[in-house]
Amino acid sequence: MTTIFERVTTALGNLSPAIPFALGAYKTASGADLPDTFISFTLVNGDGVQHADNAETLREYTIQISIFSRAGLITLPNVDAVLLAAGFIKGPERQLTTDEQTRHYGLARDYIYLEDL
Amino acid sequence: MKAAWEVQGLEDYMDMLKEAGKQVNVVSREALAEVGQELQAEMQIRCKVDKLLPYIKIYTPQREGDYNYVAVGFVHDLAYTPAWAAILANVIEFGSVHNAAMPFIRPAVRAMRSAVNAKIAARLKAATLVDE
Repeated sequence: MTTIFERVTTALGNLSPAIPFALGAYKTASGADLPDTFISFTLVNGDGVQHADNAETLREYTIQISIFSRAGLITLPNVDAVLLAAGFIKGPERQLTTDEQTRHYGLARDYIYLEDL
Repeated sequence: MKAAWEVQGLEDYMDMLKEAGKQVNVVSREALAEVGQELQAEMQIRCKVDKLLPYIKIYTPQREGDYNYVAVGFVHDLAYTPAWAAILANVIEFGSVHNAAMPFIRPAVRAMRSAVNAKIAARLKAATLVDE
């Protein structure tokens, strides 16, 4: 069975041009600078939302995709396109605090996936 | 030719409606206070940063006309939440360049959504303010 992490990884791997991404915090080799643009993602929650005959039949996942960019938030990787194509639904989004050290701006978007079991 | 149609009991019915209008606000606010505490507990259980726990607060059931609500979490008011706690909570919930998000507010709300709705509905039904 395809896990939610695999679904997100596959979808983000389809970004063109490719953008570096990671589950959790994006880490570079020791001492290396962070990329100008990168993505990190986190599972916010995964809950059973429908049951029948004592078995879960539908599960809802919420994934947060955080896009960080030193160039601001006007032009961002088209995360919507690859995730919607992979069956996700768009959720709320919010701006993250600009990092004073690395000078990255951040935008966090939630995406929801309903999995038939 | 004329027809007369007499309706009786309309005044009683209107009085009942008026009373129900008052009652529904009282019962709603009581239910909100109760579920607010449950939501607060759920957020506290899921929060991994101990020093934030005292600042997960309930902004007691408010009323704006007939709109009743309860706010739970980090209240956007310096009288309730110091700036450092609000900033830290934001970083923990949503992550940053350096840290992965460790959400605890959104999962708590998601986990409690059905229970909260059911509890409020049960309170309103118990007060005979709504039908089954």
